[in-house]
Amino acid sequence: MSASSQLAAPPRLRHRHRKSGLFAVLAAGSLGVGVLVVVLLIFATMRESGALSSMHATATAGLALSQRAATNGTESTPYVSIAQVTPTSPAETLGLAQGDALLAIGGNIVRDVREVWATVAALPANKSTATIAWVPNLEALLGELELVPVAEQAGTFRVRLAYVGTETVAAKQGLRDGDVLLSANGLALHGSQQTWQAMVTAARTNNAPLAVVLERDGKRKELPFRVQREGELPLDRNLIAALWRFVTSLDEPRYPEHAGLASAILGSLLVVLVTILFSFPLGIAAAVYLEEYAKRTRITSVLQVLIANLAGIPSVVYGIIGLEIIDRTLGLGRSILTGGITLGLLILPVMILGCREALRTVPPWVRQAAFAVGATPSQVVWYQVLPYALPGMLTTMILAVSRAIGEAAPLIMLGAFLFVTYLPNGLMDTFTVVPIQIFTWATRPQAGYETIAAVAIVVLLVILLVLNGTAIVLRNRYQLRW
Amino acid sequence: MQATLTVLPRTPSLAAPRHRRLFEAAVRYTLLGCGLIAVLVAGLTAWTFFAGSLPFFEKVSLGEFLGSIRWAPITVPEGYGTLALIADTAVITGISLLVAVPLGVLAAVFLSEYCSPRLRSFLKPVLEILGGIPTVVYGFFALRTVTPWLQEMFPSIGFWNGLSAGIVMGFMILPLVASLSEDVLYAVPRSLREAAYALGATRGEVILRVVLPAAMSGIGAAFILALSRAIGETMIVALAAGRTPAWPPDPTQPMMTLTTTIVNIATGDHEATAFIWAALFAIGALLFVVTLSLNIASHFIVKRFRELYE
Amino acid sequence: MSLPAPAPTSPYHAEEGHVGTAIATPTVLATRDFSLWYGSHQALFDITFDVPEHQVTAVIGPSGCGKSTWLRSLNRMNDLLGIVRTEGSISYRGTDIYERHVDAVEVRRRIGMVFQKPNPFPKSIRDNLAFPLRINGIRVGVEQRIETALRRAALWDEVKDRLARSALELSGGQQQRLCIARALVTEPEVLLMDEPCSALDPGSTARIEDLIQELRQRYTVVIVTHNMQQAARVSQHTAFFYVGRLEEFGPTREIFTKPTNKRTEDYITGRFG
Repeated sequence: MSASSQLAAPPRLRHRHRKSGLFAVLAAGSLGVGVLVVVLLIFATMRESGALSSMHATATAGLALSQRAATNGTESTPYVSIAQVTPTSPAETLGLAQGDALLAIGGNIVRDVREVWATVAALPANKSTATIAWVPNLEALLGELELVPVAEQAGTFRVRLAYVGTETVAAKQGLRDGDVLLSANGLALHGSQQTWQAMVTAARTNNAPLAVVLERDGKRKELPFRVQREGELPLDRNLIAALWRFVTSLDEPRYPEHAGLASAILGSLLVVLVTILFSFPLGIAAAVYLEEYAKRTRITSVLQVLIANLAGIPSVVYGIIGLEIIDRTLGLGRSILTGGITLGLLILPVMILGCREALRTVPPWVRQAAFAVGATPSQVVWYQVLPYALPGMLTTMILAVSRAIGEAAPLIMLGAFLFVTYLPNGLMDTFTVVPIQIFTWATRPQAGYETIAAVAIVVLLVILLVLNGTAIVLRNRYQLRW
Repeated sequence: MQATLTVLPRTPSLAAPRHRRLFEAAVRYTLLGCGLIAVLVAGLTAWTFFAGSLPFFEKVSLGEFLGSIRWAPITVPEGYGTLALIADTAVITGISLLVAVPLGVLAAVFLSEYCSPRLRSFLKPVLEILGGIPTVVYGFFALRTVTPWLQEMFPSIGFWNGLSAGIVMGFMILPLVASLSEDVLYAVPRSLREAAYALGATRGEVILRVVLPAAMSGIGAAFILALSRAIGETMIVALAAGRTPAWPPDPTQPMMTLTTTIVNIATGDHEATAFIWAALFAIGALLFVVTLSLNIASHFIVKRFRELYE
Repeated sequence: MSLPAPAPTSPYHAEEGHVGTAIATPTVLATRDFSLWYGSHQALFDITFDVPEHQVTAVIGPSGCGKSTWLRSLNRMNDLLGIVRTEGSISYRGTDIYERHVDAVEVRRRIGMVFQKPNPFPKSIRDNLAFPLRINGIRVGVEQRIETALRRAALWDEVKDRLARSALELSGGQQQRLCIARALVTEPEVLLMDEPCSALDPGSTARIEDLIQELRQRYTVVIVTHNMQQAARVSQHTAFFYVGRLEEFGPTREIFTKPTNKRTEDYITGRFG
């Protein structure tokens, strides 16, 4: 046996090494899972936010869409209703009106609002228009209606055309006043709204004219009736334009494609400004006093522990303090000022801790050297300590600000500004901030709000990534090594 | 060339010039004032909760507050028992710690024991940035991504449920656990490891048998801090866990934690003078006392751990 | 210069004749019955002696004997520790620097200090010297003063082309001379040196010792050292501290050749230390 093979691992040891290696894999895997899951969730959110440009396209075309259901007996079929048409928009020019039903885009049938945006997103990238098919609303389709009771079925009504006029689709296709509608494509027609809805669902499944059976002058008659119309609608799917419109529009309570983040962004900016003005001077001054002036006594060490641990109090608890002390006791109302000071209180301990940490990285001999040449305490701090502590303090400040930007719980406590459709005018206005806007949107039931919540999240995450990245680079690169 | 220097007056008047004395005093007392404001804030916080919840405890006994499961502040007869809320909070917190602690500690082991310095200097900021993601964002993840996944796997799970909130909260707390545990592992002295290696232990054995046991109290402190963070977490549960207290606690169904209850009261249309506001302070005080005690406990455990090895 | 034959163990022997003789000059700093406590621990006991003008006074003694503490009392650097209490007096030109109305900053502006470890500010060489001038409100002739101070610290020729470079790029000995220049630039009267060579190599130490001899022409120097040879080489007067007490004070030559105190003798002959 050679010397080297004597030192090779015997089987038992090899087994131990294998176990050791397994543990290493487990450890690396845990870190990987921890990071990857969150990254995956972020990607899922980014995908969700992808519908923004389609929403922008339908919105700038002049449409506000909403989800409706056509009911026929117990059956309920969803369809997309045009809830609003912007005056002088391409949609209005095309002849679309409030109450119309959207059937298809580019030949693809759309049943719900999400499908509309998915279809728009799936259009070829070079197309700036799409052929859309729709059914005009009840009045434009059939004019005025009367209900006629059905003799053999109590409580059931047929519709009789009371006034078709000259402009309705019905009039143009040969229907006349006094016609009673019996069925369309073999489907019995009852009630006015249901009649229209039945025509919508029938037209959606088949692009051909409907075979309508009606009673005219006491006789049954079958007529082809084309209820759907078609036209080219311009669709602007530019993502940059979509984002810009999103960050510059106000919130909209019903139509997510028209809602924007403007008041939340401005609110966030103003709140953070107040937070900075409140907590930075206080935090830095308190840290400088504790670190550079105060004698090390029992009291200061108790304070130290208290401050360190106040930093870990749940933020929602600070909301109660803001509500009680600032809003009610000081009477500042549920304003930007109150919100800013509340967040200021929240990050004050973080500021003090971080700044003390930064001051402590300046070695004592720097202070000694400065004192020895006759500097006063304030000169020592100003000329010799603060400049070297600055990168650390800046890092702390940036991290504190980014915490304040992302904080929602204490501000939710401060009020019911869950729905703000105006830009704040001053520091005493009520307000919303980006995280609260995300919270609000995420909880709204209408389809589409989760998309804009996702977009707002992406915006927020990008801002925070930039801030935190700057802080980390600053700390790693500019901190003096002693 | 030896230029002459102006010499300070040799007859010493060693008193400070008046303007300098005043300036230095002004600086000193301004700074002190700022420090006092910070202290005052801490004091006011404690006082707010004490004074605010006093009227509540005049009417509701502590036993009922902590022992009854009936939380019904706006129905008649009213119920102010938080046991169900506490149980829900405990279940969600437990789920999150089940995710965060094993993964976080193992991640810390990887960072401090296996990772190359280069990789480590990349991974640590990544963890830090993940830890800086706002909680409302994690709430959105839970509500819109994780819950649908869970529903696909287990159709019986509700749209609002404690499980999804707890899991996501675990991933939110993970960076905190990892970073605190890593600090602790890093502080375990080299000599201990070397001693174990010299006895012929493999790397895994050194970590499992020597480093981790030596760091146990520090990791315990990280655990306590994570616990405190999970108890106080608000946005994730407010978004994803629902607003109905569950008794007995069932994480597949909607749950209501203490923090959600606070949010609920504050965002509801209640008169600010109503008794329910006193209940808000009582719950706030409970959270304040519990989390502050946990933090302080963790603080001293870490301090003792450091003293042991320094 | 004729000296009685010194004891063979005396380090003074090696540097015979290097330093001038101790002569009677006016007192700059007078320490009277000075005691000092750190909290409840008494570090100095009833110290009394005078530091003469334009001479180098060395303070020696085993570590922990209170020599640095006393030195730091001379410009009230001990105040910075926050837990120090004193009794007795230290007078600078007749004024007790521990009196209530006296400002420690004023004291330090007249009594400069150089520390054990070179401690230049992590800034440029020029900024290191400009800082004392700026805080003293001196704005005219700054460049001139910087040059003079650097010349007096025998550093000018080495750094005149790189005044804007960081002081931390200098070698340890250069850094220490920069610190001396920094202490001199505002023209103090007294220069306190707390083991200024203990962190330096022998070559740098020799340069600084030479420098101390030149500085004595303009300044009064007090130097604490744990190195007896150094005390013998550079000083005219020597004080020997032991466990917080002044055991002996006198002309260096006498202390090193015929100490009157048994402990002093034991110390300088190396029986303990």
